[in-house]
Amino acid sequence: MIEPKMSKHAKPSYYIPEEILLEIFYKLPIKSLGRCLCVCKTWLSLIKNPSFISMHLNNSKNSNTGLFLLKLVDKEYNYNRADCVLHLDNQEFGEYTHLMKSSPSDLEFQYKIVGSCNGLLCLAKRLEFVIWNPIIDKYIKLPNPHSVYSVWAAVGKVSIGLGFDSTRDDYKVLRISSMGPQSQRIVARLYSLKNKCWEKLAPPKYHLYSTGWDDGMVFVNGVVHFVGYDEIVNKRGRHKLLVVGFDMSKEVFQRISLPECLSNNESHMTTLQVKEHGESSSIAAIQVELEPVFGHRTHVWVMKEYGVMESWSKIFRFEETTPTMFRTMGFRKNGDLIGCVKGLGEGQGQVASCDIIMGTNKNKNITKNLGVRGYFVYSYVYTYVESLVLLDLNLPEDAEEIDYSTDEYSYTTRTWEVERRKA
Amino acid sequence: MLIFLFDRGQGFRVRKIDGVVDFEEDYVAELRWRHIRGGGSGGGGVALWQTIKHMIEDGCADTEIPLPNVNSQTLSKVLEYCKKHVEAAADKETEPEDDKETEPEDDMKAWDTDFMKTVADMMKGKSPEEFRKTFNIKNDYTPEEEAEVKKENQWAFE
Repeated sequence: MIEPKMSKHAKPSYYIPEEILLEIFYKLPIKSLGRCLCVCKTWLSLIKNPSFISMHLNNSKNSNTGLFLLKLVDKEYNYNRADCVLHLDNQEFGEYTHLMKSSPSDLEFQYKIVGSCNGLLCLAKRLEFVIWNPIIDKYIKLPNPHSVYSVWAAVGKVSIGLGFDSTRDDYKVLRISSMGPQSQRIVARLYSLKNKCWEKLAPPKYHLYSTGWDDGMVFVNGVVHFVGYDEIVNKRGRHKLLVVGFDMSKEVFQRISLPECLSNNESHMTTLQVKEHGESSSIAAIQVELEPVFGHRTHVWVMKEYGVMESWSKIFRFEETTPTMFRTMGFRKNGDLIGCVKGLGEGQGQVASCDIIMGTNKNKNITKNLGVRGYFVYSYVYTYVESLVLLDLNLPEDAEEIDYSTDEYSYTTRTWEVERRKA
Repeated sequence: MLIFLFDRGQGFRVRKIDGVVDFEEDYVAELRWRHIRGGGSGGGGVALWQTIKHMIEDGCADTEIPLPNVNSQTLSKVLEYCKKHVEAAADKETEPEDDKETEPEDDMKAWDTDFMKTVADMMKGKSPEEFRKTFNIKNDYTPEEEAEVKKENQWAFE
């Protein structure tokens, strides 16, 4: 253990036990860890180790303060200059880190963020997909999903979900699309970071409700969620809405029913979104009824016990008569809503939180500006966690183009999981 | 056979003195040393602490400890650590049949966590060069490799 004699100028080299180094590494901020990578080869291999990366991720997840990633567009409406900023989910909503850019530094085009999971973002632009860790600025460009981007696509719908398969320690991207108004079913493809390719799934029997292009799904409890609708038609000839989940480990679709008043999609003036509800580790449904004259009405429902249909409860409703508008983007850890608020006729808005408890008690001033300005329509908020995921991958050479010429015939059979409901 | 420390403006030097040094309170693991290199502002705390930890575990046997570059902050933390562990060991000896035997262990654990945190706090914002100095680590990258790994991890320096 100890050198008995050393010359006056010799520097002793100490063996530092791994467990002590690791203990210290877990407590370091992520940037210091990045610098540790440059110290020596032993440290590099300790930190680049997949088990260190996943332990570090769990440590970050369990830290008391959560993070939000804000993508903000300035008032000149310059989408290419969008900023990504991390904010702390605490009382002050303080700025944590300014990422400066909203896509990898050597990819020029601006992508839309369609998913956030374990510190990774899924970026999309038509058929281009990128999985990016903005903290360590490392990304993987996915091969083309070999879907036809045609004139039909312009009227079709697409939804994308990024999630983590904990049994295989793999990140996956689900892309579902319907190729136009005549199409009866949606087409589903799944990308696995481990297999480095897209796999065609048997088409699920649901339709995609999503109203826009590149809508992101919500990853909760190992499942990505999106709003869909059944083929079943109600008395008035309308489809019933439901939440469709895709389990990233089992690779099966599952249906999560909605309460009557949410599933009966009676009006064109109503929109429904599914969101992550961090407080109860479950999902929430947000229904907005638009009333052009009187403003709009927002109904917030939470599935208090994940997977239990009976646990859906309406926790909040607020009506907004102009001049202010609140666009809900997610939930804070304390259960409050986070979104963007703006006045009538203004393009510029502010990130704000909406106090559910105060709102339930019929207080008037329930929204609180968080001191961050952004263009109302093009500002986005995602829950985020700092991680080193992707650090251990040799990128970007890994992303090879795959020949899909025979892919059309290689359906994989998936079983359908019956509705999850507790007996 | 104890350590004696004094500040020379550039950190601490350690000199061998045959006699008892009271370190504010009456404790101090018995340490004997042979060679010390003083000066410098680097830490070396963990390595030093590890060495001392082994000594304490070995029951403060007749061991010789080289002390690397140590700054005052690190050293006081390390000495505090020694004291804590020596006390815990003493407690164990006096009350071997204690029902709540796990309690001092938990206390030690909490203290260790705090110690690691202190070291981690001291590492924040340091450069790789400073890390090497603190931990006395040989840079085994070639200049090309080092440039490459720094380029790859540019994010940590922004």
